[in-house]
Amino acid sequence: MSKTLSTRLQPSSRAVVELQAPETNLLEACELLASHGFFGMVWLDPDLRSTERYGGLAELVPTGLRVTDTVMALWGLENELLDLINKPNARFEMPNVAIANADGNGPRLNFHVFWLAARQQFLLLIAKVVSTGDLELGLAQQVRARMIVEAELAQKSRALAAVNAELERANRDLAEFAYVISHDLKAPLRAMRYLTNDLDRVVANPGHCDPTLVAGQIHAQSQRMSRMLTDLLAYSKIGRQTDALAMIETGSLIRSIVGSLPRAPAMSIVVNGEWPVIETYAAPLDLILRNIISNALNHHDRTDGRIMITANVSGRALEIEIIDDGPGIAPEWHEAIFQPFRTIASGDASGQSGIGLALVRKAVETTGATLSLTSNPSERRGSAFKLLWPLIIND
Amino acid sequence: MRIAKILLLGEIGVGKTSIARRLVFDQFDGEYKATIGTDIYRYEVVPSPVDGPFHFVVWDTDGNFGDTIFRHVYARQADAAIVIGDANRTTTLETATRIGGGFMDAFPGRPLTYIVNKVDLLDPAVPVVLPDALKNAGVPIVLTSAKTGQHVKDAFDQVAAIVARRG
Repeated sequence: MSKTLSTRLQPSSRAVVELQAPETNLLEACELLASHGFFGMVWLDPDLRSTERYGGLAELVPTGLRVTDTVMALWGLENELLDLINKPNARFEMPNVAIANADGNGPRLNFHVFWLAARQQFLLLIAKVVSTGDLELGLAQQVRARMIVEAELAQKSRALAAVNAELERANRDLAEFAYVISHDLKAPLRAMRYLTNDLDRVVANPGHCDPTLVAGQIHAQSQRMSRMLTDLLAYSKIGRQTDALAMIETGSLIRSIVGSLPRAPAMSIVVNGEWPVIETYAAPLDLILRNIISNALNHHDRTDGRIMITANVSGRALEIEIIDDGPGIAPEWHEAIFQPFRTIASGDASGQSGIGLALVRKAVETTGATLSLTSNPSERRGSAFKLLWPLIIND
Repeated sequence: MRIAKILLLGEIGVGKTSIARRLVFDQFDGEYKATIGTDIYRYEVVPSPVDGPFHFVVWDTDGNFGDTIFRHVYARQADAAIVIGDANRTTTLETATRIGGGFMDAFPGRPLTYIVNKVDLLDPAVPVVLPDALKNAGVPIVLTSAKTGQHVKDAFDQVAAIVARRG
Protein backbone atom coordinates (compact mmCIF):
# COMPACT_ATOMS: atom_id res chain seq x y z
CA MET A 1 0.00 0.00 0.00
CA SER A 2 1.50 3.28 -0.98
CA LYS A 3 -0.25 6.58 -0.48
CA THR A 4 0.95 10.10 -0.95
CA LEU A 5 -0.14 12.77 1.46
CA SER A 6 0.90 16.17 0.29
CA THR A 7 -0.04 19.02 2.54
CA ARG A 8 1.20 22.44 3.40
CA LEU A 9 1.40 22.57 7.14
CA GLN A 10 1.03 25.87 8.90
CA PRO A 11 1.52 28.11 10.71
CA SER A 12 4.40 26.67 12.67
CA SER A 13 6.02 24.75 9.87
CA ARG A 14 7.26 26.46 6.77
CA ALA A 15 7.97 23.18 5.12
CA VAL A 16 5.87 21.49 2.54
CA VAL A 17 6.00 17.96 3.79
CA GLU A 18 5.73 15.20 1.30
CA LEU A 19 4.74 12.18 3.29
CA GLN A 20 5.39 9.00 1.35
CA ALA A 21 3.73 6.25 3.29
CA PRO A 22 4.23 2.84 3.18
CA GLU A 23 3.78 2.70 6.91
CA THR A 24 7.15 1.10 7.39
CA ASN A 25 8.62 4.52 6.87
CA LEU A 26 6.20 6.29 9.15
CA LEU A 27 8.56 6.60 12.08
CA GLU A 28 11.10 8.17 9.79
CA ALA A 29 8.37 10.46 8.48
CA CYS A 30 7.43 11.34 12.02
CA GLU A 31 11.00 12.32 12.80
CA LEU A 32 10.93 14.50 9.73
CA LEU A 33 7.71 16.09 10.95
CA ALA A 34 9.15 16.59 14.39
CA SER A 35 12.10 18.40 12.89
CA HIS A 36 9.56 20.84 11.43
CA GLY A 37 7.92 21.52 14.76
CA PHE A 38 5.53 18.61 14.81
CA PHE A 39 4.60 17.21 18.12
CA GLY A 40 3.20 13.87 17.10
CA MET A 41 0.93 11.82 14.97
CA VAL A 42 -1.77 9.34 15.87
CA TRP A 43 -3.78 6.86 13.85
CA LEU A 44 -7.40 6.74 14.94
CA ASP A 45 -10.07 4.22 14.07
CA PRO A 46 -13.43 5.53 12.87
CA ASP A 47 -14.67 5.18 16.46
CA LEU A 48 -11.78 7.47 17.37
CA ARG A 49 -9.87 4.90 19.35
CA SER A 50 -6.17 5.19 18.96
CA THR A 51 -4.65 2.13 17.33
CA GLU A 52 -1.10 3.28 16.78
CA ARG A 53 0.73 6.27 17.97
CA TYR A 54 4.20 7.54 17.54
CA GLY A 55 4.54 8.92 21.00
CA GLY A 56 8.31 8.79 20.85
CA LEU A 57 7.98 12.17 19.25
CA ALA A 58 7.05 13.60 22.61
CA GLU A 59 10.63 13.04 23.60
CA LEU A 60 11.82 14.80 20.46
CA VAL A 61 9.83 17.88 21.40
CA PRO A 62 10.28 18.22 25.13
CA THR A 63 6.92 19.57 26.27
CA GLY A 64 6.12 17.42 29.27
CA LEU A 65 2.93 16.24 27.61
CA ARG A 66 2.21 12.84 26.11
CA VAL A 67 0.82 12.67 22.59
CA THR A 68 -2.24 10.83 23.81
CA ASP A 69 -2.99 13.64 26.25
CA THR A 70 -3.43 15.96 23.32
CA VAL A 71 -6.25 13.87 21.88
CA MET A 72 -8.33 15.38 24.66
CA ALA A 73 -8.77 18.40 22.40
CA LEU A 74 -10.80 16.21 20.02
CA TRP A 75 -13.25 15.10 22.64
CA GLY A 76 -16.73 16.15 21.68
CA LEU A 77 -15.80 16.69 18.04
CA GLU A 78 -16.74 13.24 16.79
CA ASN A 79 -19.35 14.59 14.37
CA GLU A 80 -16.88 16.97 12.73
CA LEU A 81 -14.35 14.16 12.26
CA LEU A 82 -16.84 11.64 10.95
CA ASP A 83 -17.90 14.21 8.35
CA LEU A 84 -14.42 13.83 6.83
CA ILE A 85 -15.13 10.26 5.79
CA ASN A 86 -17.41 11.42 3.01
CA LYS A 87 -15.19 14.32 1.95
CA PRO A 88 -12.10 13.18 0.07
CA ASN A 89 -9.07 15.42 0.57
CA ALA A 90 -10.81 17.39 3.32
CA ARG A 91 -9.12 18.01 6.61
CA PHE A 92 -10.25 19.16 9.99
CA GLU A 93 -8.14 21.90 11.51
CA MET A 94 -8.16 23.35 14.96
CA PRO A 95 -5.49 25.95 15.53
CA ASN A 96 -3.85 27.36 18.62
CA VAL A 97 -4.94 25.05 21.39
CA ALA A 98 -2.96 24.76 24.60
CA ILE A 99 -3.39 21.59 26.59
CA ALA A 100 -2.75 22.17 30.26
CA ASN A 101 -0.32 19.68 31.71
CA ALA A 102 0.21 18.76 35.34
CA ASP A 103 1.83 22.06 36.28
CA GLY A 104 -0.82 24.11 34.53
CA ASN A 105 1.19 24.91 31.44
CA GLY A 106 1.30 23.13 28.13
CA PRO A 107 2.46 23.39 24.56
CA ARG A 108 0.38 25.41 22.14
CA LEU A 109 -0.68 23.16 19.31
CA ASN A 110 -2.31 23.08 15.90
CA PHE A 111 -4.42 20.01 15.08
CA HIS A 112 -4.82 18.58 11.58
CA VAL A 113 -7.01 15.50 11.04
CA PHE A 114 -7.23 13.63 7.70
CA TRP A 115 -9.27 10.61 6.68
CA LEU A 116 -7.22 8.08 4.76
CA ALA A 117 -9.77 6.00 2.88
CA ALA A 118 -7.32 3.30 1.80
CA ARG A 119 -6.41 2.68 5.41
CA GLN A 120 -9.89 3.46 6.72
CA GLN A 121 -8.37 5.48 9.54
CA PHE A 122 -7.97 9.03 10.66
CA LEU A 123 -4.52 10.49 10.80
CA LEU A 124 -4.08 13.14 13.47
CA LEU A 125 -1.07 15.41 13.03
CA ILE A 126 -0.25 17.67 15.94
CA ALA A 127 2.00 20.63 15.27
CA LYS A 128 3.60 22.64 17.98
CA VAL A 129 2.97 26.37 17.69
CA VAL A 130 6.05 28.30 18.61
CA SER A 131 4.82 30.25 21.62
CA THR A 132 2.12 31.98 19.63
CA GLY A 133 0.63 33.44 22.77
CA ASP A 134 3.93 34.82 23.96
CA LEU A 135 4.76 36.13 20.51
CA GLU A 136 1.42 37.88 20.16
CA LEU A 137 1.61 39.27 23.66
CA GLY A 138 5.19 40.35 23.09
CA LEU A 139 4.18 41.95 19.81
CA ALA A 140 1.23 43.70 21.43
CA GLN A 141 3.50 44.97 24.19
CA GLN A 142 6.04 46.15 21.64
CA VAL A 143 3.34 47.91 19.63
CA ARG A 144 2.05 49.55 22.79
CA ALA A 145 5.54 50.56 23.87
CA ARG A 146 6.18 51.93 20.41
CA MET A 147 2.94 53.91 20.49
CA ILE A 148 3.97 55.40 23.83
CA VAL A 149 7.43 56.24 22.53
CA GLU A 150 5.98 57.76 19.36
CA ALA A 151 3.53 59.85 21.38
CA GLU A 152 6.35 61.06 23.63
CA LEU A 153 8.51 61.73 20.59
CA ALA A 154 5.74 63.72 18.92
CA GLN A 155 5.27 65.73 22.10
CA LYS A 156 9.00 66.42 22.36
CA SER A 157 9.07 67.25 18.68
CA ARG A 158 6.30 69.81 19.15
CA ALA A 159 8.12 71.27 22.16
CA LEU A 160 11.33 71.39 20.13
CA ALA A 161 9.54 73.12 17.26
CA ALA A 162 8.17 75.69 19.71
CA VAL A 163 11.63 76.25 21.17
CA ASN A 164 13.08 76.54 17.66
CA ALA A 165 10.43 79.07 16.71
CA GLU A 166 11.21 81.06 19.86
CA LEU A 167 14.92 80.77 19.12
CA GLU A 168 14.34 81.94 15.58
CA ARG A 169 12.38 84.91 16.85
CA ALA A 170 15.11 85.66 19.40
CA ASN A 171 17.74 85.48 16.66
CA ARG A 172 15.66 87.78 14.50
CA ASP A 173 15.37 90.20 17.42
CA LEU A 174 19.10 89.96 18.00
CA ALA A 175 19.87 90.67 14.35
CA GLU A 176 17.45 93.56 14.44
CA PHE A 177 19.01 94.82 17.63
CA ALA A 178 22.50 94.56 16.15
CA TYR A 179 21.31 96.51 13.13
CA VAL A 180 19.83 99.15 15.36
CA ILE A 181 23.01 99.47 17.39
CA SER A 182 25.25 99.55 14.34
CA HIS A 183 23.12 101.82 12.22
CA ASP A 184 20.74 103.97 14.18
CA LEU A 185 23.00 104.81 17.11
CA LYS A 186 25.66 105.79 14.61
CA ALA A 187 23.50 108.64 13.29
CA PRO A 188 23.85 110.93 16.33
CA LEU A 189 27.50 109.87 16.74
CA ARG A 190 28.15 110.76 13.13
CA ALA A 191 26.39 114.10 13.61
CA MET A 192 28.53 114.81 16.70
CA ARG A 193 31.71 113.95 14.76
CA TYR A 194 30.80 116.42 11.99
CA LEU A 195 29.91 119.06 14.57
CA THR A 196 33.19 118.62 16.45
CA ASN A 197 35.00 118.94 13.08
CA ASP A 198 33.20 122.26 12.71
CA LEU A 199 34.45 123.30 16.17
CA ASP A 200 38.02 122.36 15.15
CA ARG A 201 37.72 124.48 12.07
CA VAL A 202 36.25 127.43 13.94
CA VAL A 203 39.37 127.45 16.16
CA ALA A 204 41.57 127.85 13.03
CA ASN A 205 39.06 129.98 11.22
CA PRO A 206 36.84 131.94 13.60
CA GLY A 207 34.41 132.89 10.84
CA HIS A 208 33.72 129.33 9.84
CA CYS A 209 30.58 128.92 12.00
CA ASP A 210 28.92 129.97 15.24
CA PRO A 211 30.58 127.80 17.97
CA THR A 212 27.73 128.39 20.44
CA LEU A 213 25.26 127.08 17.91
CA VAL A 214 27.45 124.05 17.14
CA ALA A 215 27.92 123.28 20.85
CA GLY A 216 24.13 123.40 21.28
CA GLN A 217 23.73 120.95 18.41
CA ILE A 218 26.29 118.58 19.94
CA HIS A 219 24.36 118.74 23.20
CA ALA A 220 21.10 117.97 21.37
CA GLN A 221 22.63 114.97 19.60
CA SER A 222 24.08 113.61 22.84
CA GLN A 223 20.65 113.96 24.45
CA ARG A 224 19.11 112.13 21.52
CA MET A 225 21.63 109.33 21.85
CA SER A 226 21.04 109.12 25.58
CA ARG A 227 17.29 108.89 24.98
CA MET A 228 17.84 106.12 22.41
CA LEU A 229 19.99 104.14 24.83
CA THR A 230 17.42 104.56 27.60
CA ASP A 231 14.69 103.37 25.24
CA LEU A 232 16.82 100.42 24.12
CA LEU A 233 17.25 99.44 27.73
CA ALA A 234 13.48 99.57 28.22
CA TYR A 235 13.01 97.51 25.05
CA SER A 236 15.38 94.80 26.22
CA LYS A 237 13.62 94.58 29.58
CA ILE A 238 10.18 93.83 28.16
CA GLY A 239 9.31 90.18 28.63
CA ARG A 240 11.77 89.84 31.47
CA GLN A 241 9.77 91.87 33.94
CA THR A 242 8.21 89.94 36.76
CA ASP A 243 4.99 91.81 37.33
CA ALA A 244 2.37 90.19 39.48
CA LEU A 245 -1.16 89.66 38.24
CA ALA A 246 -3.53 92.22 39.76
CA MET A 247 -7.17 93.22 39.49
CA ILE A 248 -7.15 96.19 37.13
CA GLU A 249 -9.97 98.64 36.46
CA THR A 250 -9.33 99.14 32.76
CA GLY A 251 -11.60 102.22 32.75
CA SER A 252 -9.41 103.93 35.36
CA LEU A 253 -6.30 102.84 33.51
CA ILE A 254 -7.35 104.37 30.19
CA ARG A 255 -8.51 107.60 31.87
CA SER A 256 -5.18 107.91 33.65
CA ILE A 257 -3.25 107.37 30.39
CA VAL A 258 -5.36 109.88 28.46
CA GLY A 259 -5.06 112.42 31.27
CA SER A 260 -1.28 112.18 31.37
CA LEU A 261 -0.56 112.73 27.68
CA PRO A 262 0.17 116.35 26.64
CA ARG A 263 -1.72 117.51 23.57
CA ALA A 264 -2.89 120.62 21.74
CA PRO A 265 -6.11 122.11 23.14
CA ALA A 266 -8.03 121.32 19.95
CA MET A 267 -6.93 117.67 19.97
CA SER A 268 -9.71 115.57 21.55
CA ILE A 269 -9.61 112.04 22.88
CA VAL A 270 -12.95 110.26 23.31
CA VAL A 271 -13.22 107.06 25.36
CA ASN A 272 -16.26 104.81 24.80
CA GLY A 273 -17.44 101.25 25.31
CA GLU A 274 -17.16 98.63 28.02
CA TRP A 275 -14.06 98.77 30.24
CA PRO A 276 -14.25 95.85 32.67
CA VAL A 277 -12.27 95.02 35.78
CA ILE A 278 -9.90 92.16 34.88
CA GLU A 279 -7.06 90.26 36.49
CA THR A 280 -4.06 91.03 34.34
CA TYR A 281 -0.60 92.56 34.09
CA ALA A 282 -1.06 96.31 34.25
CA ALA A 283 2.39 97.45 33.08
CA PRO A 284 2.40 95.99 29.53
CA LEU A 285 -1.24 97.01 28.93
CA ASP A 286 -0.41 100.56 30.06
CA LEU A 287 2.71 100.56 27.83
CA ILE A 288 0.81 99.42 24.75
CA LEU A 289 -2.10 101.84 25.10
CA ARG A 290 0.11 104.77 26.10
CA ASN A 291 2.45 104.34 23.13
CA ILE A 292 -0.27 103.88 20.52
CA ILE A 293 -2.20 106.93 21.74
CA SER A 294 0.98 108.93 22.14
CA ASN A 295 1.98 107.97 18.62
CA ALA A 296 -1.37 109.13 17.29
CA LEU A 297 -0.94 112.50 19.02
CA ASN A 298 2.72 113.02 18.09
CA HIS A 299 2.33 112.14 14.43
CA HIS A 300 -0.89 114.01 13.82
CA ASP A 301 -0.38 116.56 11.07
CA ARG A 302 -2.89 119.07 12.45
CA THR A 303 -3.36 120.85 15.75
CA ASP A 304 -7.00 119.83 15.81
CA GLY A 305 -7.97 116.21 15.62
CA ARG A 306 -9.88 113.41 17.25
CA ILE A 307 -8.82 110.09 18.70
CA MET A 308 -11.56 107.53 19.47
CA ILE A 309 -10.78 104.78 21.97
CA THR A 310 -13.37 102.02 22.33
CA ALA A 311 -13.33 98.82 24.33
CA ASN A 312 -15.60 95.77 24.28
CA VAL A 313 -15.39 92.28 25.67
CA SER A 314 -15.24 89.89 22.72
CA GLY A 315 -15.11 86.22 23.60
CA ARG A 316 -11.99 85.53 25.63
CA ALA A 317 -10.41 88.93 24.88
CA LEU A 318 -10.88 92.60 25.60
CA GLU A 319 -11.02 94.29 22.20
CA ILE A 320 -9.66 97.84 22.26
CA GLU A 321 -9.73 100.03 19.14
CA ILE A 322 -7.74 103.26 18.86
CA ILE A 323 -8.80 105.24 15.79
CA ASP A 324 -7.29 108.57 14.86
CA ASP A 325 -7.95 111.02 12.05
CA GLY A 326 -4.26 111.77 11.38
CA PRO A 327 -2.41 111.48 8.08
CA GLY A 328 -2.46 107.69 8.17
CA ILE A 329 0.31 105.14 7.64
CA ALA A 330 1.08 103.86 4.16
CA PRO A 331 0.90 100.04 3.88
CA GLU A 332 4.62 99.78 3.10
CA TRP A 333 5.29 101.19 6.58
CA HIS A 334 2.93 98.88 8.46
CA GLU A 335 5.72 96.47 9.32
CA ALA A 336 8.61 98.92 9.61
CA ILE A 337 7.01 101.13 12.24
CA PHE A 338 7.13 98.25 14.74
CA GLN A 339 10.90 97.98 14.44
CA PRO A 340 13.13 99.92 16.86
CA PHE A 341 13.97 103.48 15.79
CA ARG A 342 11.92 103.29 12.60
CA THR A 343 9.87 106.38 12.10
CA ILE A 344 8.17 107.73 9.04
CA ALA A 345 9.51 111.20 9.88
CA SER A 346 13.21 111.41 10.74
CA GLY A 347 14.09 111.10 14.41
CA ASP A 348 15.36 114.65 14.46
CA ALA A 349 12.20 116.04 12.91
CA SER A 350 9.75 114.18 15.15
CA GLY A 351 11.76 114.55 18.33
CA GLN A 352 11.01 110.87 19.04
CA SER A 353 13.49 108.01 19.14
CA GLY A 354 11.13 105.72 17.25
CA ILE A 355 11.16 102.97 19.85
CA GLY A 356 7.52 103.35 20.95
CA LEU A 357 5.79 100.92 18.58
CA ALA A 358 8.70 98.46 18.88
CA LEU A 359 8.02 98.42 22.61
CA VAL A 360 4.34 97.87 21.81
CA ARG A 361 5.04 94.91 19.57
CA LYS A 362 7.34 93.26 22.06
CA ALA A 363 4.81 93.73 24.88
CA VAL A 364 2.08 92.28 22.65
CA GLU A 365 4.18 89.23 21.82
CA THR A 366 5.16 88.54 25.40
CA THR A 367 1.63 88.77 26.81
CA GLY A 368 -0.18 86.67 24.20
CA ALA A 369 -2.17 89.67 22.92
CA THR A 370 -2.63 90.47 19.24
CA LEU A 371 -2.44 93.81 17.50
CA SER A 372 -3.54 94.76 14.01
CA LEU A 373 -3.28 97.98 12.05
CA THR A 374 -5.64 99.26 9.39
CA SER A 375 -4.59 102.36 7.49
CA ASN A 376 -4.21 103.48 3.89
CA PRO A 377 -3.73 107.20 3.31
CA SER A 378 -4.39 106.82 -0.42
CA GLU A 379 -7.98 105.91 0.41
CA ARG A 380 -8.74 107.88 3.55
CA ARG A 381 -7.09 109.67 6.45
CA GLY A 382 -6.48 108.07 9.80
CA SER A 383 -5.26 104.84 11.33
CA ALA A 384 -7.02 102.15 13.35
CA PHE A 385 -5.12 99.95 15.81
CA LYS A 386 -7.06 96.99 17.19
CA LEU A 387 -5.70 95.29 20.31
CA LEU A 388 -7.08 91.93 21.49
CA TRP A 389 -5.99 91.66 25.10
CA PRO A 390 -6.47 88.19 26.69
CA LEU A 391 -8.97 88.18 29.56
CA ILE A 392 -7.29 85.08 30.99
CA ILE A 393 -3.55 85.27 31.39
CA ASN A 394 -1.65 82.00 31.48
CA ASP A 395 1.53 82.27 33.49
CA MET B 1 -15.83 7.78 31.95
CA ARG B 2 -18.23 10.36 30.70
CA ILE B 3 -16.85 13.57 29.22
CA ALA B 4 -18.53 16.99 29.02
CA LYS B 5 -17.17 19.94 27.11
CA ILE B 6 -17.59 23.21 29.04
CA LEU B 7 -16.95 26.58 27.41
CA LEU B 8 -15.62 29.47 29.48
CA LEU B 9 -16.78 32.66 27.81
CA GLY B 10 -16.63 36.39 28.56
CA GLU B 11 -14.87 39.63 27.76
CA ILE B 12 -11.07 40.01 27.92
CA GLY B 13 -9.73 40.34 31.44
CA VAL B 14 -12.77 39.13 33.40
CA GLY B 15 -10.80 36.21 34.83
CA LYS B 16 -11.70 33.18 32.70
CA THR B 17 -8.20 31.69 32.92
CA SER B 18 -7.97 32.50 36.63
CA ILE B 19 -11.26 30.70 37.23
CA ALA B 20 -10.05 27.65 35.28
CA ARG B 21 -6.71 27.53 37.04
CA ARG B 22 -8.32 28.00 40.45
CA LEU B 23 -10.70 25.13 39.65
CA VAL B 24 -8.15 22.69 38.22
CA PHE B 25 -4.92 23.54 40.04
CA ASP B 26 -6.19 25.60 42.99
CA GLN B 27 -3.77 28.33 41.96
CA PHE B 28 -4.08 32.04 41.37
CA ASP B 29 -1.57 34.11 39.43
CA GLY B 30 -2.06 37.86 39.85
CA GLU B 31 -0.20 38.65 36.66
CA TYR B 32 -2.56 39.04 33.73
CA LYS B 33 -1.68 37.14 30.58
CA ALA B 34 -4.17 37.17 27.73
CA THR B 35 -5.32 33.82 26.35
CA ILE B 36 -4.64 33.54 22.65
CA GLY B 37 -6.75 30.89 20.93
CA THR B 38 -7.94 28.49 23.60
CA ASP B 39 -6.54 26.61 26.58
CA ILE B 40 -7.93 23.22 27.50
CA TYR B 41 -8.12 21.87 31.05
CA ARG B 42 -9.32 18.51 32.30
CA TYR B 43 -11.22 18.40 35.57
CA GLU B 44 -12.89 15.47 37.24
CA VAL B 45 -16.20 16.21 38.92
CA VAL B 46 -18.49 14.08 41.04
CA PRO B 47 -21.91 15.67 40.82
CA SER B 48 -23.51 13.16 43.20
CA PRO B 49 -22.96 9.61 44.51
CA VAL B 50 -25.65 8.47 42.11
CA ASP B 51 -24.26 10.07 38.98
CA GLY B 52 -20.64 9.08 39.53
CA PRO B 53 -17.60 10.98 38.38
CA PHE B 54 -17.11 12.41 34.93
CA HIS B 55 -14.61 14.58 33.15
CA PHE B 56 -15.08 18.19 32.36
CA VAL B 57 -12.99 19.34 29.43
CA VAL B 58 -12.91 23.06 30.13
CA TRP B 59 -12.28 25.27 27.10
CA ASP B 60 -10.88 28.58 28.27
CA THR B 61 -11.42 30.78 25.21
CA ASP B 62 -9.82 33.98 23.98
CA GLY B 63 -11.97 36.89 25.17
CA ASN B 64 -11.45 38.56 21.82
CA PHE B 65 -13.95 36.21 20.19
CA GLY B 66 -17.02 37.85 21.74
CA ASP B 67 -20.19 36.67 20.01
CA THR B 68 -18.23 35.14 17.12
CA ILE B 69 -17.09 32.23 19.31
CA PHE B 70 -20.26 30.33 18.36
CA ARG B 71 -19.16 30.18 14.72
CA HIS B 72 -15.71 28.88 15.65
CA VAL B 73 -14.52 25.29 15.78
CA TYR B 74 -13.69 25.75 19.47
CA ALA B 75 -17.38 25.93 20.36
CA ARG B 76 -18.52 22.82 18.50
CA GLN B 77 -20.43 20.23 20.50
CA ALA B 78 -20.30 22.19 23.74
CA ASP B 79 -22.25 20.57 26.54
CA ALA B 80 -22.50 23.71 28.69
CA ALA B 81 -21.16 27.21 29.06
CA ILE B 82 -20.07 29.38 31.94
CA VAL B 83 -20.13 33.05 30.99
CA ILE B 84 -18.03 35.31 33.17
CA GLY B 85 -18.21 39.04 33.90
CA ASP B 86 -16.18 41.30 36.17
CA ALA B 87 -18.18 42.54 39.18
CA ASN B 88 -16.23 45.83 39.03
CA ARG B 89 -16.92 46.55 35.35
CA THR B 90 -20.61 46.80 34.50
CA THR B 91 -19.94 46.70 30.77
CA THR B 92 -18.42 43.22 31.07
CA LEU B 93 -21.59 42.03 32.81
CA GLU B 94 -23.68 43.47 29.98
CA THR B 95 -21.40 41.71 27.47
CA ALA B 96 -21.73 38.49 29.46
CA THR B 97 -25.52 38.75 29.21
CA ARG B 98 -25.25 39.18 25.45
CA ILE B 99 -22.82 36.25 25.04
CA GLY B 100 -25.07 34.11 27.24
CA GLY B 101 -27.99 34.94 24.95
CA GLY B 102 -25.83 33.93 21.98
CA PHE B 103 -25.03 30.59 23.62
CA MET B 104 -28.73 29.90 24.25
CA ASP B 105 -29.47 30.61 20.60
CA ALA B 106 -26.58 28.43 19.33
CA PHE B 107 -27.08 25.56 21.78
CA PRO B 108 -30.75 25.57 22.79
CA GLY B 109 -31.50 23.76 26.01
CA ARG B 110 -27.90 23.30 27.09
CA PRO B 111 -26.91 24.46 30.58
CA LEU B 112 -25.66 27.98 31.06
CA THR B 113 -24.38 29.66 34.23
CA TYR B 114 -23.22 33.21 34.81
CA ILE B 115 -20.23 33.92 37.00
CA VAL B 116 -19.76 37.39 38.44
CA ASN B 117 -16.06 37.33 39.27
CA LYS B 118 -13.62 39.48 41.27
CA VAL B 119 -16.08 40.11 44.10
CA ASP B 120 -13.08 40.29 46.44
CA LEU B 121 -12.41 43.75 45.00
CA LEU B 122 -15.84 45.07 45.95
CA ASP B 123 -16.61 47.01 49.09
CA PRO B 124 -18.18 44.37 51.37
CA ALA B 125 -20.51 47.01 52.78
CA VAL B 126 -22.01 47.81 49.39
CA PRO B 127 -24.39 45.30 47.78
CA VAL B 128 -23.44 43.98 44.34
CA VAL B 129 -25.36 45.77 41.60
CA LEU B 130 -26.10 43.59 38.57
CA PRO B 131 -27.62 44.76 35.26
CA ASP B 132 -31.35 44.03 35.01
CA ALA B 133 -30.84 41.97 31.84
CA LEU B 134 -28.48 39.66 33.72
CA LYS B 135 -30.76 39.33 36.74
CA ASN B 136 -33.82 38.68 34.60
CA ALA B 137 -32.22 36.16 32.22
CA GLY B 138 -33.49 33.19 34.23
CA VAL B 139 -29.98 31.74 34.42
CA PRO B 140 -28.09 30.79 37.61
CA ILE B 141 -25.66 33.48 38.76
CA VAL B 142 -22.70 32.68 41.01
CA LEU B 143 -20.58 35.39 42.64
CA THR B 144 -16.95 34.24 42.71
CA SER B 145 -13.42 35.30 43.41
CA ALA B 146 -10.73 33.41 41.54
CA LYS B 147 -8.24 35.15 43.80
CA THR B 148 -9.65 33.75 47.05
CA GLY B 149 -11.34 30.73 45.48
CA GLN B 150 -14.74 31.83 46.76
CA HIS B 151 -17.57 29.80 45.13
CA VAL B 152 -15.48 28.80 42.08
CA LYS B 153 -15.92 25.07 42.67
CA ASP B 154 -19.58 25.62 43.56
CA ALA B 155 -20.19 27.16 40.13
CA PHE B 156 -18.76 24.14 38.32
CA ASP B 157 -20.50 21.68 40.65
CA GLN B 158 -23.76 23.40 39.83
CA VAL B 159 -23.11 23.00 36.10
CA ALA B 160 -22.05 19.38 36.63
CA ALA B 161 -25.33 18.64 38.43
CA ILE B 162 -27.36 20.07 35.56
CA VAL B 163 -25.29 18.23 32.93
CA ALA B 164 -25.67 14.98 34.92
CA ARG B 165 -29.46 15.43 35.17
CA ARG B 166 -29.72 15.96 31.45
CA GLY B 167 -27.96 12.65 30.88
